[in-house]
Formats: sequence, C-alpha cells, structure tokens
Amino acid sequence: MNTSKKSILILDDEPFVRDSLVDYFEDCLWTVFCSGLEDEALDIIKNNKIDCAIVDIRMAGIGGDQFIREANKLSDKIGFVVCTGSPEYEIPSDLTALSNVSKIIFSKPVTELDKLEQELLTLTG
Amino acid sequence: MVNFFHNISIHKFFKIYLLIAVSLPLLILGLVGLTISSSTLREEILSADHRQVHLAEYAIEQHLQRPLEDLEVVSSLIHNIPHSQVQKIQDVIKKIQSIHEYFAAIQVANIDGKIIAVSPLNEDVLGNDVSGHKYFNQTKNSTTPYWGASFISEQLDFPLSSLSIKTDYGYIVTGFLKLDDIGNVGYGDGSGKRSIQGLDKRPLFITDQQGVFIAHPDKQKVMIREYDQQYVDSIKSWNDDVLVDEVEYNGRQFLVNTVIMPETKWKISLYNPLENIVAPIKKMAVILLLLTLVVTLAAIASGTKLSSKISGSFSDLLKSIDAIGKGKYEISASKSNYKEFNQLIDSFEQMTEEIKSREKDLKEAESYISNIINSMPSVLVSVNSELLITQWNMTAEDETGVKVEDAKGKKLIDLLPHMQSEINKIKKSIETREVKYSRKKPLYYDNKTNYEDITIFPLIANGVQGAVIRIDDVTDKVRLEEMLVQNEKMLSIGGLAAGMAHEINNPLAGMMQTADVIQNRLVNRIDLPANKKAAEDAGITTEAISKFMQSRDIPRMIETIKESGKRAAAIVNNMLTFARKADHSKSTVSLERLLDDTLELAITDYNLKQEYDFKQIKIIKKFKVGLPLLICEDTKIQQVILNLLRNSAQAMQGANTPEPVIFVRTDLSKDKAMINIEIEDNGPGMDKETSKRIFEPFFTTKDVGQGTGLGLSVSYFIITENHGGEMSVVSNIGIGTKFLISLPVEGAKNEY
Repeated sequence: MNTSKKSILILDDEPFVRDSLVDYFEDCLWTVFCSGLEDEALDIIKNNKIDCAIVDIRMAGIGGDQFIREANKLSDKIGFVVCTGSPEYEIPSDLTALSNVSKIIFSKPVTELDKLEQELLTLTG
Repeated sequence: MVNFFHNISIHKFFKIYLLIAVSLPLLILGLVGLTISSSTLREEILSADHRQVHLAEYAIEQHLQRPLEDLEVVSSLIHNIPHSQVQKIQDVIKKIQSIHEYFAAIQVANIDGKIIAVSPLNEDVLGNDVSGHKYFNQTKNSTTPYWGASFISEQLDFPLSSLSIKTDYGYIVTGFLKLDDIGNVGYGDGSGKRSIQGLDKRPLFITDQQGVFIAHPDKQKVMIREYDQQYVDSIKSWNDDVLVDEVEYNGRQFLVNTVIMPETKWKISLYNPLENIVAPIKKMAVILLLLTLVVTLAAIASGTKLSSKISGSFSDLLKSIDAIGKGKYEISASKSNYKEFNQLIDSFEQMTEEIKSREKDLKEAESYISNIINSMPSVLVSVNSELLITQWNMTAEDETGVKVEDAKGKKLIDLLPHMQSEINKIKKSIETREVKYSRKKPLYYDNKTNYEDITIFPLIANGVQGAVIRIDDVTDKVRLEEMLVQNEKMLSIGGLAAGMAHEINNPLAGMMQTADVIQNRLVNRIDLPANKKAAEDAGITTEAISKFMQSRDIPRMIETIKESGKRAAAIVNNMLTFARKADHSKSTVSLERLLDDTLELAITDYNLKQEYDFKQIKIIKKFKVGLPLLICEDTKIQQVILNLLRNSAQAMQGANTPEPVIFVRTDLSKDKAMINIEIEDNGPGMDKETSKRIFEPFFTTKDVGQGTGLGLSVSYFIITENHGGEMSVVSNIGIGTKFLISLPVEGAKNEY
C-alpha cells in the first residue's frame, strides 16, 4: 500500500456512489476531495493540489468529458479515470490522445475497486 | 362494281382479254353476217324461185298456145264446111289431131250441142248431146276460148282438160288436151327437155281452176282427183301476182311461189324445201363456229405465249421478291429486252438496298430495346386484348422455363396461372387505359410463399390494344420491411434499455461499492488505522470485531451482496449487449459462449402476461467440444436463438407440457464448413401445413398482440440471407418441434 499521501478528486453526482469511493480511498489513506458538480470540482482543482481524479460522465452540468478538458487546462499533471454507468460510452479521441487520461473505462458498478486504485497509481506514477 | 380481273394471273388475263377482244367480236360479227347472209340468201332464193315460177308459167302458156292454134286452124278450116259434109270436118280434125297429138281427142259439136265429128273416130260418141256440159254452154256464149276443168281419161289413164272455141258457123270445137306431161312442161320449153338447171329438187304443183292437181311430184295425187284442201289452205293468201310464203306441207317446211295463169286460172306453185335455204346457212354457221374456234385457240395460244414471255421476265423478279420476303437480299432477276422491265429491276434493286438498310436499323433498334427489356430483373410480359402473349422477356423465361418462341401466342393464364386473379384488372386497364397495381401479392408454390408486385401498364400508342405486365418478386423486400419494423422496435427497446441500465447501474454501484468498502473495513483490512482508532474509541479491539464478524457470518453475507450485485450487473449488461444498436459488423465469436449468454438472457425472460417462465423449463445443453470460432453478427444470431427459445417456452407453457425440456445442441458438419445448431422442445408441435408456412412473413399462430419477438421469417432471413446459412423446422404434433440452423464457419460469402 502506498503510504505517501496522494490526493484524489471524486466527481460523481450520485451521492451513494461518490460516498462509497470516498470511503474506499480514505481507507486507503488518500487525501480525498469530492464533489457532485463539475464547476465545484474545477474550483477544488484550482485551489488544491490534485494528483488524480475519478470522473463520472453523465451529469447535470458540462458532463465528464468537458470537465476533463477544462481540468486539464488547469493542470495537465492530473491523472483522470472515467467511471460511468452508461454501457455504450466511449472516450472521445481528443481525450484518449492525452497520456494522463486512462484508456480503461470503469463501468459501474465497479466490482474490483483495488483495480481502480491500481490504475490511478499507475497514472500518477 | 366487281373487279373481275382482281388478283388474276397474267396468263389468265391475256387469255380472257384476247378471248374478249378477238373471239367475241368475231363471233358477234359472224352472227350478224350470218343473219344478214341468211336473210339475203332467202331473198335470193325467193327471187330465183319467183323467176322460175314465172318461167314455168311462161313455158306452160307457150305450151298451151299451140293446141289453141291447132283448134283455131280447125276452126278456120271447118267454118265454111256445111253441116252436110260432116266427113270433111271429120277429116280436118283427124288430120290436125294427128299432126301434133296435143289432144287426146278433138270433137266438133253443132250449135245444138250434138257431136257431129270426133277424132279419133268413135261411133258411140257421134251424135251425143253435150249441150248440158258446162264447157259447151260457156263456149257457145263466149267469143274467147274456154278452158274446162280437168278430168282423168279412163282410156288413157292420165288427166285431160277440155279447150273449146266457137267457129263462125256455130260449131263448137273442143280439144281434150293431154296433161300427162304438163308438170315437165313447166321446166322447159314444152318439148319435155329440161332447159333450166338446178330446179329438179323444186317440184311444181299445178292445179286446175277447181283446185284439182294436174301436176304433182306424186302422180297418185293427180290420179286420185281429190280436192287438196291442205294445198288450197297453204296458198289461200295469194294475190294476183306471186304468192311468197313459208308453208308447211306434208310435214315439211317450204318456201312457196305461186302464180295464177290468167286464161286457164291454173295455179302453178314452186315448192322449195326450207332445208335448201337452211343448209347453206347451217354450213356457214358451222364454218363461222369453226373459224371462231380456230381464232379463239389461236388467241389463247398467242396469249399464252405472250404472257409466258412477259411473266417469264417477271418470274426471276418474283423469286427475288419472295427471297427478300424471307430475308435474303439477293436479286437473281436478269435484265431483259424490255425497257420498262429493266427500269423495274433497277427500281427494285434500289428499293432492296433501302429495305436492307432500314431492316438493319430496325434490327439494331429492336436488339437494343430487346436488350433493355431482357436485362430488366422484372418479369415483363405483354399481352393483346385477347390476353394472348406478344412479348416475353428473359426473366420471364428464367422464371417459367418457357422460351419466348413457345410463349408467344399462348394464353397468359396458361403460362402464368397465378395471374388468373389479375385478369379483370388487366381487362380494366386496357379498357380504361389506366395503370393498375397489385402490391405484395402472396404466391404460394414450392412449399413457400413468395410475394409479388404486379403492375399493369395499358398499351396506348398507335391504337394498339393490350397491356404490359410487370411482375417483381418482392419477397426479400417484404422480409426486409418486416425486419426493419422489428429492428425499429428493437432499437426503441434498446434505447430504453440503455437508459434503464444507467439508472440501475448507479444504485448498483452505490450498493456494491459500499459493500466492498464494508468488506474492506470489517474483513479484509480490519487493521486499518481508522478502524483501530474507532475500535479504541469504542473500547474494543479490532480482533474482537473480526472475531464477532466471523462468528456471525458477516463476511459471507457481504460476499452474497457483492455476488448478487454482480449478477444483477451481468444481467443488465447482457440485456444491453442484446439491445444495443446493430452495426452489422461481424465478429469472430465462440458459439458456446454466445449460446450461454443467450440462455442466461432467456432465463431472465420471465413474462407475466404470457405466463411463461424459463425457470419451469429444463434446459439440456449438448455442445460439441472444440468447435471453431464463428464469424457472424453475434447479436443477430442471439436474436434468432432467443426468439426460438421464447417460442418454445411459450408453446410448451400454452400446451401445459408436463415436463418441459429444451435441448440445445451444437455440431460440426462432416466437411467442417458448417456449424449446426439444434433447438428442440418436447412441446405440442405443429401440423405440416403450419410447418410449411412458419417462415412466411406475417404468418403467426399466436393471438394478436402476443408476438413480441422477431417473426420467424426475419429469423429465416437473418440466417439465410445475412449469414448464408440454412434454417429448417421438423415438427410432429404431440412430440415436439426441432429447429435446425446451419451457419458457415467462414461467414457468409456475400456481405449483406
């Protein structure tokens, strides 16, 4: 287990999903930020040092894809992993072109959270 | 007016023409000539007869003059002889009588009628009184000689006639003139010699003033002394001069000339038999007929020769025309001596060239149009107003196996019996000149139903009565349409399912991921710093918590939550895969996996309304080990299999099959090119009629509203058309139904 404090932002408009991830990563000793709104999450990035983020796609605001684009503008060091309940979702090509965006889409429900954590660690080096 | 020379051969024409132009006028001229000549001949003969009868009259007159002179001599000799000298008188008459022998006897009577002398001498006669005799009294009272009536001399046996004169001294001298040769006298000069030629066949009839024959070709007629009423009747209309008439006498026709001698009042008739006139006319008529015949034959012969000469020139030309009619453009007619004919050949050659060129153009155009018609994928048939076939394209040949040359002229319904129901439409179309349609007309043959679009175009150009019928096989189109409808349904269900999946996945994520965190905190990672701190705050140890959890079986319960969640997620995922938008892309799949997924999907396919539940059905799988991967559109195949499974479940449930079983088997064909799939149930099965029609579009045995899945026709289409496979059904009532699907391992050769 990685003991160095890495920070993660969890962006999901589903409170129970968001909470389960927050709980998991806190247990795994991550510094966890969370939000259900894209704008609020961007503010968090602006105001805090964030290493990586778990991003839901279908949300009420600008949506997950646009959030990654916006966030990436603020900091291209953040590793992004998409976690969605939409079975037909595919990552847009402009985002797959970015090395800090994971090519793996984690479908909800994520039955093996440790694999998600592992992917985040890989992204953040 | 009837044209008698219509379509007549030149030979015949010339013959008839010459016959009319030469022989007929000749015949008419001949007949006119004959009529004129026969009339002239009659006139001439009559004229000759006329002359002859006068000659005869003259000859007889001359002949009678001499006896008269003899009597006058007697008269002059005896007039001064006194009555007392009878002997002298006797001598005179004896002398005179003997000189010429004109008279059979000469007698002299005195004024009282007493015969005083007679020669030849007859004592019995001398002294007889003749004063009562007519000739005596007539002569006594007259100064002119008197010719008495004729009579037959008993002694001489021929007729005599009395001639009496009165002398100055009152003697009445009477001579009994011999008339035995009077007939011959008429022919000559009285000497008995015939001086006029050619009259022997024209007998003279002479009667005395009483109408008794004194000369007749038949001497008996003279001797019987009968009054010949027939003769008198035959000449009764005579005038003073000459009677010219045509009479029948003794059953023969004669031209008769009669004269009456003024002194004797004798009638002389020349009887000329009519055949004497008719014979030369007949001869002329025969000559004329022969001449006409000869001329006619000559006309026919020359007509034949002339026409042969002319038609001979035409015969080669005719052969060439015939050949051109048969499509051979070779002119074999050679030039002849006739300018007009040569001009005809030149014109004909020119015309032939033009026909050749036009026919070439026409053939090219025909071939072009024919190519267009034949390249049409539709059956194109044209019919006339009697519905007999006039055109039959290649597609029609292929569909029916009947060649165009055999089809032309046949009845439409004989070659396309299913058009029977369209007959009225075709007739109506021809009548109203409107295009008529029959869409998606089902046609059942060869154990399957095809669909046809029939279009009837009336022929309206150039007064042609008929119609062109276009028949298109739209079976595939109909199936495709049905599939599109089904696809639309699936798409809408798919879209709904995708939205639902998202909604389900989120709470599932909340539940499962939280269960994962719980598992971490209570089981897997009990010694987490946060756990330890919390335990301390609660006054217990993490070990005690762990022990409690284990003893209360909490880890298993958490696992159960996670597994149930996973299963729910899998179902949602499977449903989504099935319902997701079809992209027609083929992929390489494991059939076993595909069937498992489908079965899993089917098991969840509990339908309350239709009251079937896969949990009630025993599924027996028998998969061939080591099957090659299959190239196919997996979702499509999944649709088909799911459809079959649903149908089976539904049928078994409906029939209350006691122990429902579905067998799912796979196998590899002997040549390893095809993978076979069998879906078999022990349900109610179906009859043969239903089995035959089960793959038809829109065919269903289900009640309205029950058909939720794909129709079997679409399944059939997917297997056969999309994947180049085969699909069939075997079913027996009360035993069950088995669907057989074969799919090529390499996928369909032709991409749909």
